[in-house]
Amino acid sequence: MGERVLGLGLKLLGIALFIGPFIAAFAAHNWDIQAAVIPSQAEMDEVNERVSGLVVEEGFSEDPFTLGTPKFSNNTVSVTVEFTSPLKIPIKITDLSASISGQGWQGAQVQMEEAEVDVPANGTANFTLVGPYSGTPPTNPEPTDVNITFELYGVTLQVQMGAG
Amino acid sequence: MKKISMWMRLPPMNWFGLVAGALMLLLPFLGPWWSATVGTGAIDLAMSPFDYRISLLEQPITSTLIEYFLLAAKLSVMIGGALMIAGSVGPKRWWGRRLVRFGAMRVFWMIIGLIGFLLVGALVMNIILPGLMSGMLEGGSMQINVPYVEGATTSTIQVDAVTITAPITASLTEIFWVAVLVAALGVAARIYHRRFMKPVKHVKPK
Repeated sequence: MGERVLGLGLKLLGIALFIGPFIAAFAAHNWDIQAAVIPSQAEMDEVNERVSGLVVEEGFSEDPFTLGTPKFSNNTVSVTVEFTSPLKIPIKITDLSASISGQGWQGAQVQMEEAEVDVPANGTANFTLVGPYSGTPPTNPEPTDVNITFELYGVTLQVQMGAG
Repeated sequence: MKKISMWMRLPPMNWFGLVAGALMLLLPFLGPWWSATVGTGAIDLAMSPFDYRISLLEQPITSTLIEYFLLAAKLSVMIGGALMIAGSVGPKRWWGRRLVRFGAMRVFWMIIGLIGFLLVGALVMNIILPGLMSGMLEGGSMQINVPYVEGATTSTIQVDAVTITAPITASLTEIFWVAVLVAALGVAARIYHRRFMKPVKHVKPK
């Protein structure tokens, strides 16, 4: 008899521990099932705020970049770059490459001189692109085909910005 | 004079059950059994059957229902542990077997449940999600590789001129292996407890 009662009691305890959380969670939110299951509005607003910090409304165009006039010396072309981050979080630029082209010139490939550059949220960073060239430098050289690779929260984003 | 060993002088107890029960009282407070990270804080996950942490861009996300469920799991294992200790101390009492049985398999099934959940989760992410998202990425591609329980992978999403590459790492923690030990002790306690049961006499009806 005692064993049967104990067995029944333990079974009921197991059932209570399974059903209890449903009742407690729904009761805590005035029986609003959705509110009990999904995260609170405040948490979702905070997440939205952070995600919106990653989104650039006008697109990730070349506007954040100010490229200086290419300088040619000793068969090396160098271009200074000022990058103004449109993102609300700090990022790390790990690679930036571009082509320098000019009329009647075969062109040159330039790459970031620095290994990586840290850019604070909505901040500005300056760095230099360098690369070898041959031939006579053009009179009006222009950077084109800018490719940038940056890292945010350990996730790598590679953006090809096409002809400049 | 015949020597009686210390072991023989101890009252009969289910030693496996005692140790398993004590560890079951501790287990819910030891920390997560499994953790995963996307990038370095883009998404952080840490979970055990008693606790969970999900954060997106360092912002934690919680659900009341899940919290109550995990609290119930915590209570369930602690009650199971306490009852298992009681059942192990009095293994020959009529209630001994019932109490040991109530707690013995709890951690074992929690391990199976967690591993099953992780496998199904990875399966959904790797196979079902790309199919569902393919229509949303016009001209783009998605290659999601989520580790099955443990490992390091890389997922890639490519849309127009933007390629996003996210490293994903997942691993079982040391606490998981403590849980495996507790589960093994629980199973051993259940088997060992049989030696305290009276043999049932089968009487042939005349």
